[in-house]
Amino acid sequence: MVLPVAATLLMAVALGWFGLHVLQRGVIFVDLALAQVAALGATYAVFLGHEPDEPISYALGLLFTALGAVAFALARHFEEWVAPEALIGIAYVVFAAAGAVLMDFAADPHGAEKLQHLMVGNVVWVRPVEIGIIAGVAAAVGAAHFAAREGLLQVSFDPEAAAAEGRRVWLWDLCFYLTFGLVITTLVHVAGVLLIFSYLIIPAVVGRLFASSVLGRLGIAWAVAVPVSIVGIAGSYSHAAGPIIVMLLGGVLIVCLALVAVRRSAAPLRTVGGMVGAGAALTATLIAARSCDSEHDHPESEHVEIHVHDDLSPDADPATREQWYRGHEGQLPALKAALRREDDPSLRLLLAVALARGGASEGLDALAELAAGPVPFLRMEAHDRLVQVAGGGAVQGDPLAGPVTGWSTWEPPEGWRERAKELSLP
Amino acid sequence: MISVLFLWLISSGHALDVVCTLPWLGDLTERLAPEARVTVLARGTEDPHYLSPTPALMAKVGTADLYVVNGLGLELWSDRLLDGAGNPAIRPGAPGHVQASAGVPRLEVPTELTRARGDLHPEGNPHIWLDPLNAALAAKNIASGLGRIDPSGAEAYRERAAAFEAEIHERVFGADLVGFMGGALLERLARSGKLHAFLASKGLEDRLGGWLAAGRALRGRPIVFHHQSWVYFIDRFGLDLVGTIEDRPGIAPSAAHRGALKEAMTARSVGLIGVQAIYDDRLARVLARDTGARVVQLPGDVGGTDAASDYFALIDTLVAQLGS
Repeated sequence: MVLPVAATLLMAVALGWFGLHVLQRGVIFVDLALAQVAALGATYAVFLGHEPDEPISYALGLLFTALGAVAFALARHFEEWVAPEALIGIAYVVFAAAGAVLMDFAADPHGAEKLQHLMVGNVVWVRPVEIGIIAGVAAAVGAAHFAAREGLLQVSFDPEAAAAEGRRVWLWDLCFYLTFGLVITTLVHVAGVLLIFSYLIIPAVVGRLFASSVLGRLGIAWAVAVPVSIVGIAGSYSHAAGPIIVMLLGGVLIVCLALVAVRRSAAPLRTVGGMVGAGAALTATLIAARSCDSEHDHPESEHVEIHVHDDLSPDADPATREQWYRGHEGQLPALKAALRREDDPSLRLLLAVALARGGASEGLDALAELAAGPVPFLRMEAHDRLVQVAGGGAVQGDPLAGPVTGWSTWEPPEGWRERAKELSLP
Repeated sequence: MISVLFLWLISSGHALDVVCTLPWLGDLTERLAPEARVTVLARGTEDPHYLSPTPALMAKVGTADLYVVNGLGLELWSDRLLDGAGNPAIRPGAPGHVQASAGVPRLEVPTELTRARGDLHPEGNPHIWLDPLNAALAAKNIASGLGRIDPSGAEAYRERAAAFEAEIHERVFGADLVGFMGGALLERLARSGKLHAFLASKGLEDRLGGWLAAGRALRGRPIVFHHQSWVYFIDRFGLDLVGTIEDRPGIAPSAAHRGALKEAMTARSVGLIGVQAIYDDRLARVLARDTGARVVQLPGDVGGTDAASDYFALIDTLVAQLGS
């Protein structure tokens, strides 16, 4: 429990700060794109034959992210022709597709699973060494950002003023994206793209709703993310933690948006009424959908079904037939009929003994046949029982040495039925 | 004249085109019909639950004479593939369609159907081929299918299926015991769980051979597997399943489950965690580190690892790996 909570708290703190900047710069999708670039780097490492948690994957992820960061920093230059957001969104999609194609070519049997891990992550199974790396990176980047906070904030919130003061905006941008990329690459293996995006954007959005100062927004963002992390991990003990945290963050945002809407509305009661009405309509639709009959029929399967009435189905498997024969001991006509149909010699033995116990001479005939048959064990079983029934006048022979043919011409003596009642079923 | 030529061409017997979904089905089909052209859709190194059929494979299915599928909901993609390929002769219910698992006694048939248990198979656990006795049943089903589409060869297919069953019995129980008691009786005893007690009562335990004898170490051995695909193997070889890492198949396991598994493993001294080569063994390795157990990579089907080159080698490998 402690490790996953530590991981999410580190994420909440680090990404809360970056989220502030990202929202202000209006490059929401840069996080998704950078996370996807990092994932592509890891995918390339897998394509080369490495595992996702080897250092080489991390290194390639960093390299790819650095290149991506440079590219996004330069995107501002094309602002006149293309909104940077469009380029970044395109980059996200193209890199995701590139990852899928790489996995296809790698013919890696785990390919799809690894790609899915990179999206969803597995916060619950995080290892101590991974926490250590995240904490280290967060501390280093945090220290650097703290030292340079004035310049960073100005470049994000008021780039014209920064340029006027002589700061090289593109260099600050680059440093921002490089450190950002470093944090994301470090987190993507543990947390996955979806969770990173949620921690980055949602608390920052809530911060913007309720505060205007940088410290205020940051404080609120952290105040949202930290409790949600703890509740999310604790509450999801038996379920997948990552997606639950994402949904909790989303839920908090919806509640906050509702609060703001009511507070700023000219007619608050009407706004509340509207929201309640919308909620009720949605709930009613969901409930109605549940009561609709499913059109999807369960597909016919080809397997053989054993019916629960007393007749033995001709297709029944050996275990069922055995059960049936044992259950119908004493019902001589049924057993005789079964003996006529049964091919399995070991089941014929069972039927023969049951019939003999019931006093039917067909049982003795079948035993004689088995004693002369090809299976040594069954010869032995049949011969031993015939000897028991015969009393003194038994046919001589060694069933283990070969077929004992003498029983076919043997006539059962008077009183054999009494002795036959003592026979044991195989 | 042309029509005579045409008739001669089509009657001169082209080789059968058989498409099988899984590698073990292809292996069995090749034994039953050596002269047929057999295509296998899934690779032993892939997860058989998921497959993206490429256009090349769809084309093969489109011209197939026989389509062999494991069934029981394993190949979720099969119906879609058949719809897309548009080959009426091999659709479910048609003579060219074989469900290999038909008639095989099913294990883990759920008593209640709910998605809360993960991607449960409603007709029972589909991984039937890991019990060699089921492979013999499947071979009979495949032979019936071959006989339906090629009646002239039906006798030969039946004979080869019977020969395969005899070989399976010998490999499972040992040639000595099969010769002495007959494979049918041994199979019946094994399936009802009475084999070892029966052999003991008759003083025949020492005569047991084959995989059951080689796998003596597996009987009662506590083990953890990654995915719930082993129930038939466990049933045949008597392993003691302590738990599966995937608490619910197809869903990542929760922290609660990880804790419970670790406790159970320590309490029952589980030394071995079996993971099919198609799965990521990351979670298994974490659990192994926590408990001191060893992770072993297993083939789940023919071709799953290099050692599992055919069906008999597959079972050989499993018995050897899990008994070590």
